[in-house]
Amino acid sequence: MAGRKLPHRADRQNGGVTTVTTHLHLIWKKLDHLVRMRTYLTYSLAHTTTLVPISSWESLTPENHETLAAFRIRFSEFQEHMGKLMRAIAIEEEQTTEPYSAILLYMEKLRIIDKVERWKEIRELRNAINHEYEENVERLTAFFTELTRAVPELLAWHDRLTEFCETNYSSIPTSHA
Amino acid sequence: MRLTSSQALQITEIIHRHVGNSARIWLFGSRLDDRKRGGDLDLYVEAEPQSIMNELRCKVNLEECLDLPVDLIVRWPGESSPIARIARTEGLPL
Repeated sequence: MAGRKLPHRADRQNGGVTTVTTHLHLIWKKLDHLVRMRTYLTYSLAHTTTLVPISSWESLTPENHETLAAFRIRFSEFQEHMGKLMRAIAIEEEQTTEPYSAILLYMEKLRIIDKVERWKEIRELRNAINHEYEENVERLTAFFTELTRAVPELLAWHDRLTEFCETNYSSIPTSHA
Repeated sequence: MRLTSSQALQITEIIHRHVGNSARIWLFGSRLDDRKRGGDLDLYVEAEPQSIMNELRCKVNLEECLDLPVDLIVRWPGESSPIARIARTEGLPL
């Protein structure tokens, strides 16, 4: 896709037409991937919400455990991938990308995420649930409840990220048109 | 111990603010070894039960203030898990 001439944002240099860079193509590829991941996460959430709050861990079936495992992984991957897209956007916008907090502050300024602290809390939540020390049933139950609560926020941020890219990188490759 | 007195003070202040003044804190793991370099800050805290999100906010706050990766474990007083035993017996109370 690199090298193709397509309309770009209110164009920086050459009157509405620019070259779709490899980097912009990468951003669109990440967006595409996020759409797929969102479908899987939403599917897992629907199944998980029927289980939480988990009143009895012992009564969960192997299928239930599989549902929770899939949800945990899909949640983690979705936020991680969204974080990578944010980094790619910051690079495209020639912003500071180290430390990662700089990217989060930029995203907060763009109103893509509500609060840097909330992003970090959710990141900690997903790290904690994967933590080796977590064998306590009550804590795991609380973790899953909080994860389900955080999904709508992640989805809203994903919507805003998509909107930002559509507005600013409107040179949509053919596969996205 | 690879921790300054000012850092130790910051740690206790942040933890008490988030999980209560009665919390007991132990530093354990690689930060106790003066021959090592870098590494996470391993903290074990005994505190009254509270919300998971409170603990996570405490960890985020510690990492921001200290600019160090923190591994924070918060448990009820007297828990007998292996990690609790290691932290209490080999760790250093702050």
